[in-house]
Amino acid sequence: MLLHTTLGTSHVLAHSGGDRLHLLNASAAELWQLHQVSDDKVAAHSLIQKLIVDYGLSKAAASSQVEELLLHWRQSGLLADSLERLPDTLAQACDWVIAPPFPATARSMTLTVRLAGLCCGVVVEDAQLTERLKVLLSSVLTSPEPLAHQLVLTGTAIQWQLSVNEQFESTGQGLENALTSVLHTLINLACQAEERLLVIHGAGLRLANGRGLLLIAPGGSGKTTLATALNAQGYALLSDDVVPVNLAGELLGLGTPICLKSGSWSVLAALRPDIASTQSVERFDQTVRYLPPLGDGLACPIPLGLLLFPRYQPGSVPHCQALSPEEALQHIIEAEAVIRNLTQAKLDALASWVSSVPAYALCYPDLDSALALVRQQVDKLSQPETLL
Amino acid sequence: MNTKPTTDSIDTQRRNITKLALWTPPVMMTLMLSKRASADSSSSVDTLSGPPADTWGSTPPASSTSTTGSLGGATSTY
Repeated sequence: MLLHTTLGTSHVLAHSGGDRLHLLNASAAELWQLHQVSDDKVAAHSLIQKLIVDYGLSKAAASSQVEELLLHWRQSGLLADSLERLPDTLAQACDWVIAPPFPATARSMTLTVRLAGLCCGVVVEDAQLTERLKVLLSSVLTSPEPLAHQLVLTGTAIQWQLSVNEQFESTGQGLENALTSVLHTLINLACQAEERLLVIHGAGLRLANGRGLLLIAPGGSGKTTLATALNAQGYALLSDDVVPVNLAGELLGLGTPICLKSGSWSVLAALRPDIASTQSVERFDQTVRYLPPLGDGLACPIPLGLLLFPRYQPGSVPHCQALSPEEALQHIIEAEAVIRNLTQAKLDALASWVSSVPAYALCYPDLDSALALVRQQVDKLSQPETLL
Repeated sequence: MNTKPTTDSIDTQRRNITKLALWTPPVMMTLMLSKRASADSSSSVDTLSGPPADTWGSTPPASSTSTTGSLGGATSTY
């Protein structure tokens, strides 16, 4: 089934449950709509005639543009005669061996955590792992209550195994890998991409007006550094790396620790002096330090207020550029947002969500410039409300 | 046999030029959605068989999973 919605002056097409979005600019959208009401056999002729009559194109130019567009639609599986879909690569056989979980022993300790409104229990057998996890998860620890999921970490820091809801999840060696696996698994559970409108790869903060600010960028763009600095300046942090968005378009706070790579430690030293005394962890071949976010946790979902796409570029002149909804969506998807189970309702909600707030691309050479640019956009956002 | 006045021809030309100026070539951009792991059953597949870059929080170096397409090899107008 083909889904469609409008976004700015563009048209968005997608297959139900598909893995790609097609953005048609205004001209392509106009031709698409005409194609939809035309007989397949004369559709190309109708489109060519439209370009000649309505827009004064030469016959050669009109034919060339229409033929290329039709070819592109056909290659993308958008036309009825091209619906032979690509083979489903997800249906590949899985042949790994699922090891049964070790039984948790009487020495186990349970930590209860809350992320994005979801309560999870973490049962840990090893005392050393328990102590490190208590520190790592300090920002999300809560009192015992009914659990949505239960993680069980068995074995020792030398050789461990993680299960989720009695299903094998992963196994490995070393304390630091265990910490990372538990944190990663908790975040995955909280994101529940299938049940969300989307899951943003970016940092989320709460503005003074109670609305959410999203800093969206691919890895290495400096968003965690910027989010940590903003958090230190009083903005409550939802998450530094991944923000689930519920079906109502509201942002959910994870509250998980901020993961800082070594390059940002000195930059943030004045704002977060506790970096210096925080233990380093080796994670995916990188040395990082986990810091608890400052301020209160974010228990309730908050509406979106502003979309910013930061980019750290040494030597650049700080600048800010307004983005159209189409450009914002492109940036969001290129930053590896997760959108699953695409339906017409989700596609409409996504287009409406992206169009609902201002969006800006920021480029800056240092943290001070970045903070100034963010403040400038946040202030601009609050001006109309002040006037009212 | 009547012939059209020259002013009409000029008007027609002007209208055609105006119409052409309104035209922007059609462009379709295709954005690939991320295949990152998530909390569903398939996430085990990604997590167990995929590199760490497929996991949340790894903030790997930028390697866009999206592709863009446009007519005639032209860069998208977005």
